[in-house]
Amino acid sequence: MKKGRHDSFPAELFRAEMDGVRMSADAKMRALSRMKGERAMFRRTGYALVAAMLLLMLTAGGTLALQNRDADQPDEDRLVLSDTSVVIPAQNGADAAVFTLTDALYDGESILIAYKLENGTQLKYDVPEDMLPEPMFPLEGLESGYDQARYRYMSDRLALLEKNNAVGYNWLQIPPGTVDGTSISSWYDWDAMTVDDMHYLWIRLRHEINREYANGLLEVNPDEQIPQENIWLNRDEITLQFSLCLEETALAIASDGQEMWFDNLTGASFELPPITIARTDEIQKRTVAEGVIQMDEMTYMIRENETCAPAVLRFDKLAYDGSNIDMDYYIAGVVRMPVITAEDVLFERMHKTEAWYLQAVLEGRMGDMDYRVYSLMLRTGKSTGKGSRFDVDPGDLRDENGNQLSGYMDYDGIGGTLFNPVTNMPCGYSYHLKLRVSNSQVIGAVPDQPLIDQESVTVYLPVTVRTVTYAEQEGAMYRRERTDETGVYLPLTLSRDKTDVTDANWYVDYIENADGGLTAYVKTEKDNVFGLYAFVYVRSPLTHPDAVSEGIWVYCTDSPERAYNAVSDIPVKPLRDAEDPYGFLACAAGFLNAKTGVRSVLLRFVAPGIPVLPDGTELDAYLDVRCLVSETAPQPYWVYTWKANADLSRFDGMDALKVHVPLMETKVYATLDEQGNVLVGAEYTPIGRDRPTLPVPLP
Amino acid sequence: MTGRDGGKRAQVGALMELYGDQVMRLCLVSLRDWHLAQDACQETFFRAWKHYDRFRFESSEKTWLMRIAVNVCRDMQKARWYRQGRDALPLPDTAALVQEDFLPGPVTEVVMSLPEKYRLPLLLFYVHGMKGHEIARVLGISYPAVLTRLKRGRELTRQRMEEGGAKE
Repeated sequence: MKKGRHDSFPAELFRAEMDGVRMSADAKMRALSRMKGERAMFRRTGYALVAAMLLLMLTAGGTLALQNRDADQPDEDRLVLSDTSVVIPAQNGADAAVFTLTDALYDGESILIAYKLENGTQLKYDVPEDMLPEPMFPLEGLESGYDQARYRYMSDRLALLEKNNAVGYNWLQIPPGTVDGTSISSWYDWDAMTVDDMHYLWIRLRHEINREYANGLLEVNPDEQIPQENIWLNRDEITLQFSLCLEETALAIASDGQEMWFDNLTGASFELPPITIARTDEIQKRTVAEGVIQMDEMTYMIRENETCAPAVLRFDKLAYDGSNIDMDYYIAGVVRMPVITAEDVLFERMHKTEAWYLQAVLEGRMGDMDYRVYSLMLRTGKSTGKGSRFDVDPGDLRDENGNQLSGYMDYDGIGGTLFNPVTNMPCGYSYHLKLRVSNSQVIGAVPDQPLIDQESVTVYLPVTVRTVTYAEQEGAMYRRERTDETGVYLPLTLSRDKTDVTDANWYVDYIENADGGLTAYVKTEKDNVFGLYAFVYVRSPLTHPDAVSEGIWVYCTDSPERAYNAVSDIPVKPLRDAEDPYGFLACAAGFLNAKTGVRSVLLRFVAPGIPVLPDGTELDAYLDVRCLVSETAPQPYWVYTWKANADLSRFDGMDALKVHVPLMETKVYATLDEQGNVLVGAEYTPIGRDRPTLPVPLP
Repeated sequence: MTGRDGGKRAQVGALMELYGDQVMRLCLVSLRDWHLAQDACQETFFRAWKHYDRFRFESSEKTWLMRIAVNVCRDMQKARWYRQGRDALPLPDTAALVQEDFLPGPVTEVVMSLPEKYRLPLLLFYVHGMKGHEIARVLGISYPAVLTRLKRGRELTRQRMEEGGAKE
C-alpha cells in the first residue's frame, strides 16, 4: 500500500495529535493487580474443580477418561471419549460439542482430515432487543460484496427461523499448529460440509509468506507462498494440534429485512489433544494418475496443479451392469477467483433471479484506488446445479480410446461456505452421472463395443476446470463461462454387477408374472427404512396420455391389510416426460416408516393394458417392474413398461398401426414387513373400457 | 505464585510498556471516552495475560493485542449502558476526550466524528503504521474492506475539514 497517494490526509498532524494519548500508570497498575488477583482466585477454584473431576471420573465408571490437564491450558479440561473423539465443554454461551476425528491421512506433502463436530452450534433466539446494538448498516451500504454476502448468508439462515434477533455460537475449526508451537499456515485449507455433516480439511504443508499487496491490487501468485524449506514435508509422521475457536455471531435484522447488524467475534479457543499421523506410503503407491491420489476405494484427492484447484472426489456409487454405468459422487474443492477486468471479457447478460446468492469479491484495477469490485456469485436454491460454479469439475467419462461416453448428469448442489474474501470458496456438490454404454450412445467408439457386456470396464473421468466470471453493472448481471481440460484423468475400473444399475441398491429377488398379477420381492440392504417414496413411470410405444389421464391415487396406511381398503384418494396427475412422448411419470406415493407406523403404500391408477389389433389379435406385452432406493433417500419406484413384443414385420411399410388398448386399473403396493424388507406387488384389472382407437407409430 | 505465572505476568507487563499507549489510542478512538478507554486498555492486557499461552505467534504481538482491544471495545459497546449513553450524543463528547495531557486537535476531532468503521482503519494505518492485511486481521474484516474504509475515511475527513470541522 503506497502511502504517497494519500497525501490529502493530514497524517503527520493526526499522529502528532494522537501522541498525547497514553495509557495511564494507574491503568497499568490496575491491570497488573487484576492478573495477580485472578491467579489467586483461579488456584482456589482449581482445587474445587479437581475434586469435582475426580468425582466425575468415579461416577463415569471409567468409561470416560479424563485427560491430564495441560499445564499450558489451566482453564480447560478435555473429556476424551476415545482416541479420536473429545468433548469440548460448554462455555461462553456455546453448547458442549463433540469433536470426532474420523480420518487423517498424510502423504508427506498434504494432510486430509475428516472430522465431525456435533452439537457445536447453537443459536439463541428471542434475545432481548436491548442486548443487541442498533443496526449498523443498511445492507446496501456495506463495504463490499463480500460483506454483503456474509450478511445475506446469515440473513438467509436466520430468516428461515423468522426471528429478528439472534446470537449464535459456533465452534469453528481453525488451522492446526504443531506441538512445538510453530504454526502451519495452510493457504489452501478448506472446510466443506457434506450431506452427512462430515467436514474435510485439507492442509497443504507450506508456509504462508506475509505477502505485500502492491498498489492495492490483489495479486495472487501461489508460488509466492512457498518457502524454500519446509520442515513438515516428507516426514515419517507429523503431530498436529488443532484449535477450535468459538465464534460468536450476533445479528439483528430490522423489520423491513434490509437493515441489520452483524458482528462476528472470536472468543474462547479450545485445544484438541495432539494427534500424530503416520505417513501412509500406501497412498503414494495408490497414486492412480498424475495429480490424483486414491485415498480409499471410493475416494480420490485431486492435487492442485497449474490450472486446477485442489478437490476431493468421493464416489457414493460406482456400478456397471454391462450396458449402463451409474455413479453418484460428491466433489468438494476450492473455487478460485481470478483477477479480471471488464475489458478482458465480453460478458453475456444474465437474468437476475430471486435465488439466493453468495457473493465474493474480485478486485481489478480502476480509479484512484486502483481497484474495482466485481461480484462472483455462487447461486443456490432450487435450481442449484445450473447456477453453481466450481473450479474443479468432473468431465464426462471417456473410454480407453478417449472416446467420450454420452450420458446425462444431474447436479445437486449442497452449497458452500464463504470463508475467504478473495481467493477461496470451498464448496461441495453431488453429482449423479448416468451413462449408457449402448451402441448409439458411444461417440466414436469402435464397432465391437468393448464396453458392452464385459466383466469389467475401465473408463476415464477427466478433470476439467470451469471458469465462470460474473460482473454486475448497472443492476444487470453478466457472466462468462469457460471450461478447460486439466489433463488429469481419473481411471475408474468397474466390475460388472448383475443388478441393473439403473435400479441399483435395492435388489429384486425375483419377479413372478402371473395372470393378472405380479409380485416383486425387494430386499433392502438397509437395517432401517426411514422413508419410501414411490414413483411410477409408465412407458410404452403404445401408451397415450389419455390412458393415464385419470390420475394416480395414493394410499398410506399403517398395515398392509388395510392398504387396499384405504379411502384416502388424492389423484396425482401424471407428468408427461418431455423427452419421451410415450412416457409418463407420477410420483410421491407415500412414505413407509416403521417408526411412524406407516407400513404400506398403495398406488392405484389406470393404465393401458394389453393392446389389441383391429383383427382381435392381442399383442404380446409384458410388464417390467423395477425398484430403486437411493443411498441417501430411499426411493423405490416401479417402471411399468409395455413393450410390443410381437413380430410386427407384417406391418412393414405402414406408418402407424391402429390398436385397441383396454384400460386396466392397476394397483401397486409396497409394504414393510417386520424384518425391514419391502414387499412390492401389483395387480391390474380391466375396467371394461377401451381407450380410444388411435394411430400409434410403430416402434 | 509460581515462577511460570510470574514470568507470564512479566511478559504481559513488558507488552504493556511497549504497546500500552497504542492500545489506549485504539480504545479511545473506538470508544471516544477517555475513562472508558482506560478501562478497555486495562481489560485488554488482562485478557492478553489470560490467554497468553494460546498466542502462537501467527501474527505479531502488536496485531494480537490490537485484535483483543477491538474485541474489548466491541464488548463494551454492546453493553446497554454504553449505548444508552452514546445515543444521547450526536457528536463526540469532546469533554470526554480532553485530559490534562491531551487536547484533541482539529484532525482528531474530525476523525472522531466519523463512524467507527472509518476511525479505526485511519488510526491503525496512519498512527500505528500498520499494513492493510494487518488491519484486516485486527478488525476481522477483509483486506478489500480495509482499503474501502480507508478510502472513504480519507474522503470524509477531507470533506469535513473543508466544511470546517467535525460533523456527525
